[in-house]
Parts: sequence; C-alpha cells; structure tokens
Amino acid sequence: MSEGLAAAGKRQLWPGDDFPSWLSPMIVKELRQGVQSGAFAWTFIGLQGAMFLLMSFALTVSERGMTAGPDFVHTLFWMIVGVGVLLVVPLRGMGAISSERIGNNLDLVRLTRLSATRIVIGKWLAIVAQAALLVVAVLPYVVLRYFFGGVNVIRDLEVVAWLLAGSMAVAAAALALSTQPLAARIGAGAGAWPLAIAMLQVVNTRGFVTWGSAGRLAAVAALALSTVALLEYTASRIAPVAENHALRKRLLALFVGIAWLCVAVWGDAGAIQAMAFLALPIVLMAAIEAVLERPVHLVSQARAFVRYALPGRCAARLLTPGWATGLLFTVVLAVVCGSAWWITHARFKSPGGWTAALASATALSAAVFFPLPFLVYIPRVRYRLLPYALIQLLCFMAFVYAEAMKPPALAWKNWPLGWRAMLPLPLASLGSLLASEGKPEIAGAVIVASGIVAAVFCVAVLPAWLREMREGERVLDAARTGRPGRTLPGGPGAAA
Amino acid sequence: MTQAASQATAAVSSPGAPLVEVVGLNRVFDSVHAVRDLSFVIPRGAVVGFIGANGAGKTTTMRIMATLDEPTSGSVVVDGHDVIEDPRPVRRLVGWMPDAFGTYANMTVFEYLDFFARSYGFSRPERRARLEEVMDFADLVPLADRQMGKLSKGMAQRLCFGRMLIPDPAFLILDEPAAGLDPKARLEFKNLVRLLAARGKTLFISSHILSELGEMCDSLLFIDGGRLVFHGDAEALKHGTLPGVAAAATLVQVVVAGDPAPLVEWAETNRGWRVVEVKRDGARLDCEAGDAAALADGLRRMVAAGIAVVEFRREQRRLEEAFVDMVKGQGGGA
Repeated sequence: MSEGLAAAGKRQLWPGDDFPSWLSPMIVKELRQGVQSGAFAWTFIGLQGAMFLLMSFALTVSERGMTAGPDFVHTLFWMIVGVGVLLVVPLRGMGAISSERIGNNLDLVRLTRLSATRIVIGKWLAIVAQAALLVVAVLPYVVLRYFFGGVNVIRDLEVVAWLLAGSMAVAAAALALSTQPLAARIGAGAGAWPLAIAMLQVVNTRGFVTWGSAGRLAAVAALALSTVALLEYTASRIAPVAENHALRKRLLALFVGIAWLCVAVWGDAGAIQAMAFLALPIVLMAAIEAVLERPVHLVSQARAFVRYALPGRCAARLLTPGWATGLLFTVVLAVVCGSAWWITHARFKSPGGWTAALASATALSAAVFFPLPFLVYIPRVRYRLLPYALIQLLCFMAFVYAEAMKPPALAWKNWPLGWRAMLPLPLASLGSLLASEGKPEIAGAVIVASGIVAAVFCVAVLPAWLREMREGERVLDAARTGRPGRTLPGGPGAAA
Repeated sequence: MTQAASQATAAVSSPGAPLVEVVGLNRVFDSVHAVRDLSFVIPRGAVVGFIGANGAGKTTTMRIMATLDEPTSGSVVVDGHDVIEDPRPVRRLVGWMPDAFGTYANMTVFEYLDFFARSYGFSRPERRARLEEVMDFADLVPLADRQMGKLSKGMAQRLCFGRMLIPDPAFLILDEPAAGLDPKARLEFKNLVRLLAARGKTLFISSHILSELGEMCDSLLFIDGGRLVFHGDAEALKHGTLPGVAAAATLVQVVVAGDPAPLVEWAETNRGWRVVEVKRDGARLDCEAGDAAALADGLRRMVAAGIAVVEFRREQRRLEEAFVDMVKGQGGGA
C-alpha cells in the first residue's frame, strides 16, 4: 500500500467495525449527504430558532399572566414541528431518484448488488431518520412546555407517533414522485396540496373523534400499507424489467381490498370509515398503475408461475406485468372493494342507500378504465400516466364547468346540461352524483351510463386485450416447455 | 428470443464461445430508430473499439449490453446470459463507465469508492484490500480526501474508472472514456487499457475519435445511423483490403532537394502516377498500383531521372478517411 493511502487510512479510511459498517450502504450514503446538506442544516437551525422564539413568547405570556393559554402554545409548537417533519424533510425526497438519474449515478448504483428495493428503502430510511432527528432535536422544548402546564404526555406521544408515521408516508410519496418526469412532479405537487388539506380536514374534524381505537388501528395499518405500496411503486420504476414488481404491488392492493372487506363485514363504524378513507387511495393507485403498465412477457417471469401448474397459470393472468393482466386484476379488485362499499352502505343505511353506493362504485370503476382505449391504441407513449391524468382532468373540468354554469334557481335534476351531459364521462358523472348527495334518479342513471361506458370500453379494447393475453399464454407455454420466447414493450406482439 | 440467441444461451460459459453475442438488436425511441438490426460477437479477452458519429447509436447499444436499457427487439447474450431475461449474472460480469457521471455532494473520493465497494457486497477486510488495489491502479490515492465536486475532468474519469474496477469485472464497457481528456490524461488512460487487456479483460470501448482507438483495439466496430457498417481490424480498414470496400488510393510524400518542378514534371509524364498536391519542398503523389513493387519501381525511376529525392514515404491513411470512404462506398453518410 502506498504511503498516501496508508496515511489516509489512519485518519479516516479504515475506522474498524464502526457502526455504519452494519448498515445498508445506501442508508449510510444518503444520511451522510442528507445531514450535511444545506437544506437539512437550515431546517434544523430554523426549527431551533422558531422554538426559541415560541418559548420566549410563552414565557413572556406566562409571566405577565396574559390570556394566550397553553393550548395556543401547544398547537403552535406542534404546527412548527409538523412543518419540518411532515413537509420540509420528507418532500426533499422528490428529487431523490431524479437527481441520481440526471448524473447517470443511478445506473452505476443499479449495477451493484443493491436491488431496486434496497436502493429505495435506503433512501427512504435516510429521510425518515432525518425527520426523527428533527423530532429528537426539539425534545428539550417538549420538556420546557411542561413548565407552562396543560401538557398531556400520552397525547404528546400520540402526536409524535402520528407525525413520524405521516412523515414516513409523505417521504414514500415524495420518492414515488421522484421517478416521474418534472411536469408530473409539478402537477402532482400542485394537486396534492388541496387533497392533503382536505384529508387533514377530514381527519381533524371526524377522524380522531369518531374513529375510536379500532379506527385508529385501521388508520395506522392503512398508512403503513400505503407507505409500502408507494415504496414498491418506486422500486418498480428503477428495477430491471425481469423483476416482476406487478406481483407485489397487486398482491398488496388485493390484501388491502380484502382487509377492507373484512372490516366492512365485522368492524365498527369508526374502523370502516378509517379503512375506507385510507384504503381507497392504495386501491386506486394499484388499479391505475395496473391498467397503465406496458406489456412485458418474459420467460423468466413466467417460470415462477408455471411451476404451480393450473393455479400458477391462473395467477399469472392476474399478476404478470402489463395492462391486459392489469385489467383483469382491476376487475377482481373492483369486485372486492365494491363489495366492501356495498356491505358498508347496507349495514349502516347511509344516505342514498345501496343504489347510491352501487352508482358511485360503478362510476369510479368505469372512471379508472375510461382512458384506456385511448392509451392502448396510441403507440409508444413514454409516460402513460400523463395522458391518463390529462383525460381524467378534462372529465373533471367538464363537471366543474357544468357546475359553474348551473343557473342558481334551477335544481340539479332539471339542469339538462348538468348531470345528464356528464353521464358519458364517468368521473364527471361521479361528481354529479356526489354534488346531488346521491339522489336516486341520478344514481340510477349513473349506474346505467357507467355500465354502458364500461361495455363500450370492453368492446374497444377487446381485440388488443385478446392479443395480449394470447401472447402471455404463449410465453407461459414457452416457460413450461423450456422454449425461448419473449415480448418486450413496443416490440413485436405488443399491442401498445 | 431468436433462434441464434437461444443457441448462444445454450453455449453458457463455454471457453471457446464468444463472451458477447448481439443478434438483430433494435431500439426505437418514440420516432427515432436508434439501433437497427445490429449483430456482432465479441471474443473473450478482446479489446474492441466501437466507433460512430454522435447519435449513431453507440451509447444505446452499450446501455443495452450493460442491462441498463431494453431493446425493442433482438437479444444480447453475455457469457450465456440474456441481458433481459437474466440481468443479475450479467451485472456481475459487467463494468460500466458512462460518458459522463454526476458527482455526489458532500462526498470525498474515498467515501465514493467505499460506498460502491459496500454496495458490491465486499466484507470489511475484502473491501480494504480491493480499494487499496483499485486506488493504486487508477492512481487515486492522492485524491482520497478530495471532495468529488472539486475534481478535474481527468481525475473524475480516473475515479469513474476506479469505481468500475471495484467488482473486478470480466467485461468492461467504456463509453467515450477519453472524451474531454488532455493529452497526458489520454496517454494515462491508454496505459490503463493496455494493463487491463494484459490481465485478460474483455474491453468494449466507444469513441467518435478513431485515432485513439485504432492503436489499442484488436478489432473495430463502426456504426452509422444505428447500423453496423464495418467489423474488422484497423489495418485492414486503413489499407482498404476489405471485401466490399473499394481499395484506397496510395499516397506518397516525396521531398526533394531544391525546386520540386522536375518531380511534378516526372509525375505528369509517367503513367500510373498523379500529382495530388505540390509543396514547397516536394509533392504528394498518387500511385495507382499502390503495391510495394510499384512504389519501389517509381522511386528507382525518379532517381534515374535525376530527381534529388531526400524523402520518399508512403502516407498512412487515417482511420477517419477510411471510415468516410467506407460509409460513402456503402451509400451512407458519415
């Protein structure tokens, strides 16, 4: 060994069995880079400064006996921590994959022994660790708050747990977005705000009050599962095509759907509400992802299924990558989740009854499929999510336009350019249904119209779907007999 | 998978079989057909140059070979493993050096290499030995503590080279490795390539600068518009001795003592000789026959005619010229 290296080694190169040696290299690298970054340092300093100011303010108020009570201080305290832990640190993950792609670094990492899943989990854990570090850094201020009174330790611990759980989910979502092109990230970033605020509003006004302990447990489980689903989605974006990530994503969604069904049958109202509220995004994400997947027929993937004979072949029709199997999977998922939806409405006699439940489930399912005929016959669209989102956005805008144009004195049911015009567009008709609060005549029309849309859609994609399924069958046969045979996205035999 | 590719797969790891077999490779990006029906083999231990203009499809082909991209059709088999169906064993064999790589913020050269050594699964003692070897080989020891962002282009290329060598890959794919390097760094790079070739590694090196590859490669692959236009050795290309490629003109550089006019007059009056360019101290002549005997005869006759020949030298045709001639001859455009 040269002298230079030996000297460097003495200083820092070979620190022995240090702690990082036991961790995943990706976590070590991301943590090293993350905590040294300006963004983390400024967040850390900003949080400490804000805490100092808040404590000074609280002390002044307390000494002067003013009315701004402890509740105000506590709320402001957790809001400040929340901004750092729920937003600033996890949202840095939005550049985690894309920045590696820009520098070709992702390719170099992909060629190592680290699997796509390990790469993604390493990045995610590093972000979560930084969020946890922020929480630990404000602990002295948590203790200080006890001098002002009105502190509930259990409540504090619960808030910390929710903050960290939320941070985990937001970090996973940010990582998933980081695999998308810039336009999609900007669009999702803009669209996520109203959605997040609406969800927080629901959680704040109804969730903690009405969900009860079973509901909270369901919420934690759903949050954990959505985090896993998002991480799996991210991993699938950087994994080699030979890895079947559709299998994991779809099994996870199916598991969530079945759990929802079980809760709908046996759970109390709070648990069902929490489960429905949090499972729906996971299930929708999996369904949209499944119908947008490019067709890939690889013998190496098929081999894993054909070894289980007939059950394996049946499973392959649902769980191998590609929109054709994704379509079949989505139908199964829609049946499971629709049943949960219907049972919930039947058990608790919700407004509008089972007709409204069936109408919203039918419209939602038709909305998921609606853009598919357009995408199947457009060859080689690189990011299918963008045209898919655009079509859905147009449907939504049509609903908003009709709503805005509605004469104030006219009832919805008499407004011909309103809900009737929306019927061919499933997402818009769902909006009309919700706007009318599930009126039976609208619900009935939505069921019929969405059914017709679904039927037309089936006819439109049937030839391409059959071709894809036959191709999958051929590759399954090839895997069974050991013959070569495969089809790649955009290659011969690929429908889209 | 095509029949040829399946045959290649059947020959898994056979010592006589080529290390890499590319069959009917196509890659289409939206409306761009980047690679068209590309087929070639790379023998074990060979140093192969991959040459083409910018946008010819070199990087796309190399990325597919390194399992980083998927072909639209066709197959690439590395040591018996299909890059799409079975990428993991291929990744264990391949070392990939991209044409450009980004730096990691807040990371030293050593931390970078250590991260990759960990990622390749080296245990601590193995890692230490491997990093010492790689850093010595790529001359990275003096840079160990330097931040990655503060490296020059040449240093960054050495770092990328060192990183590539960490898992000791048998097949090295280098995309434009010498681009942007100064002459000294270029020379160092050539030496590194020679050392690796001497260790029995198979190297696949791309460049659009032909001269830098001609002297280090056993064979050359020329790609133009995504199609393979030549696969052979550099000497055959220079001398135009390839089937289907027109023989190149033989140019002779003649330097005379004094006025070049007698030399020009001699060339104009002798059959088989033509003046290409008149210079202050001589001329460039084109010898139609081009073989050694005709050249020797021409020199003898020049001297016999009283021309004071100081220097008589056959011009080595440059690879760039040979490439352009060949592409023109095949109806393409360089």
